[in-house]
Amino acid sequence: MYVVCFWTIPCCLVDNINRPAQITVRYERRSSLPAFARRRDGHFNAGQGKIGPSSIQGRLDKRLNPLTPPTVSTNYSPFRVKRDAVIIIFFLFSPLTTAMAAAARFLLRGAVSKASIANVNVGAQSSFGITLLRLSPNCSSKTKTQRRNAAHFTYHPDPVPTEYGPTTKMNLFQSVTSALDNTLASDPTAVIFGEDVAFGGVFRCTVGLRDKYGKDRVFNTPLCEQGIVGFGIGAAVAGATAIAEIQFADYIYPAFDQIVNEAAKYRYRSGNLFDCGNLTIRAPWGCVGHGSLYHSQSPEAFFAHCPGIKVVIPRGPVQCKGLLLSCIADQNPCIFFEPKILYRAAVEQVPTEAYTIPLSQAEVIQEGSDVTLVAWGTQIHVLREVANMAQEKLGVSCELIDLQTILPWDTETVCKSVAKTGRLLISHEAPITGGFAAEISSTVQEQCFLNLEAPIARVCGYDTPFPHIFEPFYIPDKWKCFDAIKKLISY
Amino acid sequence: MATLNSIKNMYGICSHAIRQTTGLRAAKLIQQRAFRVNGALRQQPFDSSEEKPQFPGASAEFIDHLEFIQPNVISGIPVYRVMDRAGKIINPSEDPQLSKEQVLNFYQKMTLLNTMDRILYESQRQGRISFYMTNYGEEGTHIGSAAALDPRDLVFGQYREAGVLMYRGFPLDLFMAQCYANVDDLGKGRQMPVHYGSKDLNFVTISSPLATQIPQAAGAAYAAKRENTNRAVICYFGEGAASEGDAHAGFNFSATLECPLIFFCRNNGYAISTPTNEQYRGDGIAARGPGYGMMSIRVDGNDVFAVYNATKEARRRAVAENQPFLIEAMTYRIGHHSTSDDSSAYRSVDEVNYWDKQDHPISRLRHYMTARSWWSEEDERSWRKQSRKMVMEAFEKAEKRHKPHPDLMFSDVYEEMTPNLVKQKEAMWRHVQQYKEHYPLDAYAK
Repeated sequence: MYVVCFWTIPCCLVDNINRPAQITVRYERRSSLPAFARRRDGHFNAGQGKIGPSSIQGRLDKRLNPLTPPTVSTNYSPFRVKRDAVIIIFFLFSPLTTAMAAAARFLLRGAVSKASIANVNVGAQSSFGITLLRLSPNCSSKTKTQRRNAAHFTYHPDPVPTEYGPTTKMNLFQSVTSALDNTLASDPTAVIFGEDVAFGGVFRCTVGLRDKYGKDRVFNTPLCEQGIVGFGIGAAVAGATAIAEIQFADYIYPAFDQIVNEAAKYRYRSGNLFDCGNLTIRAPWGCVGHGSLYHSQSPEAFFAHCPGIKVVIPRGPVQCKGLLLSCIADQNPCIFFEPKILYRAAVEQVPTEAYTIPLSQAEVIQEGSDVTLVAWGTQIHVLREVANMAQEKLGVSCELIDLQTILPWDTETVCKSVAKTGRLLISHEAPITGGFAAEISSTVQEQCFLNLEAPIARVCGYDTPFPHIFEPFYIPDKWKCFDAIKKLISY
Repeated sequence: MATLNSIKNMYGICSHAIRQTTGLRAAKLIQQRAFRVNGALRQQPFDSSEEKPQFPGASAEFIDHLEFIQPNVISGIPVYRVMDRAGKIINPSEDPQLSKEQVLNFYQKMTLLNTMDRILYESQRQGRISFYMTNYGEEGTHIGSAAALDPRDLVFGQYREAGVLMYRGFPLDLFMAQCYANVDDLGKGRQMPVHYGSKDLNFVTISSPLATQIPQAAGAAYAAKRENTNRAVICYFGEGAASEGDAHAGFNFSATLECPLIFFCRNNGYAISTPTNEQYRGDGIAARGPGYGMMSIRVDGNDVFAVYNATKEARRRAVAENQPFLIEAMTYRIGHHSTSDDSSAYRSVDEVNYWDKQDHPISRLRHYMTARSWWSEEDERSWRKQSRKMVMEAFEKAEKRHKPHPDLMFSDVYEEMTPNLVKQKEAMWRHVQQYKEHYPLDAYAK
């Protein structure tokens, strides 16, 4: 650590507090060290054949264009060795270097703990890896465009709810833990299971619950989604409140048969003799910035086509806890998708006691008169910004609706709004063809045909698998939505 | 108890067989491993000092020469039986020594099931019901296992377990009602025939997708374990369904989560037209049990006492020790897969006749009873007449009943009726009122 600090000034730059940190390091020229520390013979001046520039401009030039890394000459005289040794030892133990090392360590530790979403390896390998990264000659500083992007939305917290009792600050995953805590406390038959839930879960949604309620109530299952959901159905049929976790919504498909053919149809096919209404399935959902094909999917459309289950997606911690508790209480099998990008990013004041938010009721978050905007989950926050932009730049007043429950969905609220505004924009990350926007669009044109002033706009993902490096181009960001509003208004 | 000894002996036989086929030093290790595999495998505490494998995944012993374990296809797990094909008890200590009433009840239930099957199969051929599946040849598996359970035990079936429901007392009227989908059907006319269910008799409604019930049974058993009321769960499936991923999931979950569950596999030789040698290459389903850390046994499914003994002991231990048991009942599907199948397309009539005449659970039990003078020709004739009369009465009654009210098409999708379903129901009735001559409203309840 000290040696590294001496030869370089590591700038552990974390531009944006929201993104999981990846340390970028810029190499500073040795010319930025005090003059007496610089060699006079020019050997330490990488690739230029001259002593490090004495002018500030020159120094700045070098700093801004550090294309070649510092190299080390091996031409030592005994005098120079001794002198350099003194300098080295001085700097090794100087307060300046100590402070720099401490700062670097602090930022490293912070960076490591933020890396949980990407499941970066921690422990024995990482410090070696990080050091290697810094010393690597190819690891030049990145220009702005090469750095990982900031989130595509700004989180807008809900106002503090007053009707449910005392509140405390929670992020989304903490609101999930709180809901599960309330459930396990009040319902002795409740059990939580899935892959890795025992230690707290890969997204920390079940931290502390096993210790508090026992290993027969919060337990790991083998790695098998069809088994997790099948097991959950059976437990629910036998009377237990079963809360199953699927580690990522992208991995829910092995359980598709159990969900669609069994859970959804249990009550109907048995003539109401048997049902699995006590089953709730939770899964992290939606894009996260770097999730790519298999950690970013939004599969709500597949399940929207299945009568008998309910599909619910919250936009923030207050909604999350209330909707999750409603799903658990609901006597129908429910799938609860949790926007994973909001797990840490979304922080609100959430009631500590249990409370429910009704299912199948869309919420009008913002009233307006010109355009109806419909979305769910993370996309609500994108559209909030779009609504503000539309107001400021176009003078367009938008009515923003959070659908919350995808199935069965609240057609009345949406149609009532479109009857008022005459224009509808629906937005979701999932691919546009067969996405849930198509269902909303179809129903609205059936019921509000004569009210429509413009074709219904759908701003969605493209019909491709969710890409990795192309995510900024793929997602229905605020500019695409803004542009769609412009077209709606000028139709 | 005698059965325990014989189960332990079986492992001895197994390993003896293995030793003979492999004939190498490795065989001794397999024998030792066979005993250790029973019971839950716990992760050993890490100890770097011993010259012993410390892998968290498995920690048997090191071996220094290359040897593949041979799947013991030839000898295989032996088949437990109590009676021979002529109904004579082989080992008197294995005779469950059930009372005359109990044995007569077994016999009457098996034959009543057989009679109901014949009549309902015919009714499908005559176009009275849409579909039917018979249970010919497998009556022993149903009655023997059902008798060994507690009435509170939850049953998850596949579709060829009607005898379990019959043993528990499901009336003929309700069997017929489900097949005719009439207004008395507990399932409200929503499913094809033979998809029975009964909440009172703890028989979960049958569904068509195969093996989906297997992980569900594991979940139900876990919930029953937490309830702590000494309740077991039994899960029936065929050897074909055991190839499904859900079967693997169910076995693994029940073993790792320590569920009081009996897996009952009816290995009847065929999955529609697919014979067992195209279904699996290993030693049947029972041989898979040890792979999951599960207690397993293979029984003669046509011997109602063997099935009874195995199920009874498995149930007792499953609840007492919170672990799953796998019973593979070897039997033969004498009938076609269903009324949509003609099995002469893929098997010989001689093969079917052998099982019908030489090794049938009903005749084996009858020989047992006649040997004790519990059943005579006169009894047989009068019971045949009586059972046929019972079935025909229920049949004729069921035929005359109306179908359920069409409103029942829209209820129970959710616990509550949702607004869009209310709208759809109203739309349907508006349409039907306008075009009523094209809809068979007369057959349905008003």
